[in-house]
Amino acid sequence: MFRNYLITAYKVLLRRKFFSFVNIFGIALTLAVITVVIAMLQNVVQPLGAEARAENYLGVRDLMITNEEQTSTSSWAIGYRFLETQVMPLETPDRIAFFAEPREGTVFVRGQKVSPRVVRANHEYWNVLAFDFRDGRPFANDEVSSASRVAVINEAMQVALFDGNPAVGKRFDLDGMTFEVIGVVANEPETRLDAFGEIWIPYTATATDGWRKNWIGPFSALLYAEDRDRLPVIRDEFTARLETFVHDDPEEWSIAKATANSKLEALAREFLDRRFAEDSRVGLFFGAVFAAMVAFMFLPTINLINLNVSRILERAGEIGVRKAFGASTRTLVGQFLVENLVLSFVGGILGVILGFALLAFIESTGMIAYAQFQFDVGTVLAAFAMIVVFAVLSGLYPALRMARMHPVGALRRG
Amino acid sequence: MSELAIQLHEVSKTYRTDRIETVAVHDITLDVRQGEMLAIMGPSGCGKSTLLNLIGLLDEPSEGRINLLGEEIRTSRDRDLARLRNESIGFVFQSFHLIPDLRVVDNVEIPLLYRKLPAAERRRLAETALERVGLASRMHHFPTQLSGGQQQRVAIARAIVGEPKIVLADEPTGNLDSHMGDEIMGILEGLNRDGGSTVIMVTHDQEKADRTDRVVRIFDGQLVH
Repeated sequence: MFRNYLITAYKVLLRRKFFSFVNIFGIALTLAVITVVIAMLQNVVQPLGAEARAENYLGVRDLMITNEEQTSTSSWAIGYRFLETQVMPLETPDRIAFFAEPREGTVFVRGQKVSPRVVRANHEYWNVLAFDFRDGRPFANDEVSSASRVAVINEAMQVALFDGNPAVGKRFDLDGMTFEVIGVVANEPETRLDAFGEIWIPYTATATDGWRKNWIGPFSALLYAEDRDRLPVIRDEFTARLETFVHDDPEEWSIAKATANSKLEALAREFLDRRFAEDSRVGLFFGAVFAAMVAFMFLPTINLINLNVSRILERAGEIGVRKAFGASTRTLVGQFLVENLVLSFVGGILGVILGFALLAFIESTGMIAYAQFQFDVGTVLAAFAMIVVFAVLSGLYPALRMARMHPVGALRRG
Repeated sequence: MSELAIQLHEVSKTYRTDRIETVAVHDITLDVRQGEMLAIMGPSGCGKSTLLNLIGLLDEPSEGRINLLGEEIRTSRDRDLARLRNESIGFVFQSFHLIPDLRVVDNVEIPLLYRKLPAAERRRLAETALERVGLASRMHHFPTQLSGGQQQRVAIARAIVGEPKIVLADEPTGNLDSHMGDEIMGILEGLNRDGGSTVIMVTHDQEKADRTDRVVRIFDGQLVH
């Protein structure tokens, strides 16, 4: 019976090649985009690579300072003064890492300008994040305290600056200062916001130290706990400590707003523009992502419903014959759903292949530096779940209409 | 007296739309014996096909009772009617109604798809039915590769593959030339004579009707005695 259905489904596809192509293409494209979006989301949110311990820390990434009347408002990443007064004194985290957002530096290699993204970090950065050291070591607390001109570089920089030769012990000039390479780490993709960089130096190793006086920017802090069940305690302490915030100019700046978030919460806040709100609304974020995907699938669904309904007349004779020879409405609904599943699976498989090809393309172009998308089973299963939902959505109404045709009317039309 | 295959008791069928009421079949009482070959004749639009559809459970009567192989049809549940059609009735249509996308043998298998039979058994029965109509050699062809007469023979094979007690043929020779029409009549006669099937055939053709056991005539939806 199934074979008979499959043959019919295949022949029906071939009967109107152009429409079938448009439909399969529509499904494939939709699923390709969804596959890419899922893979990207996974890449940002999942604890992978150097961020393998991401479930053990909360990030403080944004700060807004203002006053009661909101006559002045300033917001960006957190500043060193804020780190000093509000973050470093926290007692509940086991470790506190902080780092400045990547800034483009300048290195000349044989007269050619290279512009690596440089990250300034404290020594705990290397303990909280799980970098894969290919050579050498991270910088230590005393090197940070003494503003040593030492650097950790990634493998791509090892190639760009030293032609891939062993780099530890070698020196290079960055923005007019000479640094010694002490470690080489594996490349981390740009989507890992806490771990991305190409050169890491002690946050103190700067030509000037005006940043020490700033309340705003360019740092983020990671509050780490060995036991992740303690993260809520850390969050509470951080929030409570915000109440003690006193600015150097307390009349102008009396209120500080910041939150400590998991990666997922941070993404939800960014997406929903709730960076300083009390609640991150992760549920709402997931709801919105799901709704967007459903809305995105709506167009090919309507398309397929339309095609299926227009095929009703074309297939009236077949429906009449099948009914006359004993097919019940339920059996026919089953048959048409199977046909639709076949169509959707063909489109879906193409879509997933296309999606992975797109991801491979994105990786190869360097659009997202060092991107390594996970071609994992989860993504494929999620995509296939979408296909099934899609097939049932687009198949059920036409199937019901087709199967409920009166056999006499169907035979007459056919 | 042999048992009755079909009993219609005061059966009427009226089609209603918002404004018009059309009486297609009116107050028909008819008994058909098992193993009988019956022709239904009448002018176009007189209700012959409607009557055949009522007997074949493709349509429900507005009034009256239908008794099929000793069982009164009380249900109007889609699933039950489908099962009864599948087990008891085989249809042959004027325009064959073969599914063009399926090969001959797959077309013939259709009634068996709705029974719980293994695929190999279905295939064997379909081949046997095709042998009975002399088309075993064409089973892997598509319907469009066959002549009209051959297509109707495939349709007959499909009608008999499930060994139904009743075969209903709606102008089975209507689309064929006289030679092919004769051939089809011969097969239907063989089914009736050798297989013991009850055959009811709607026809315009007096010559074909004369070859059956009995002819009933309909005019304006009523039996003419």
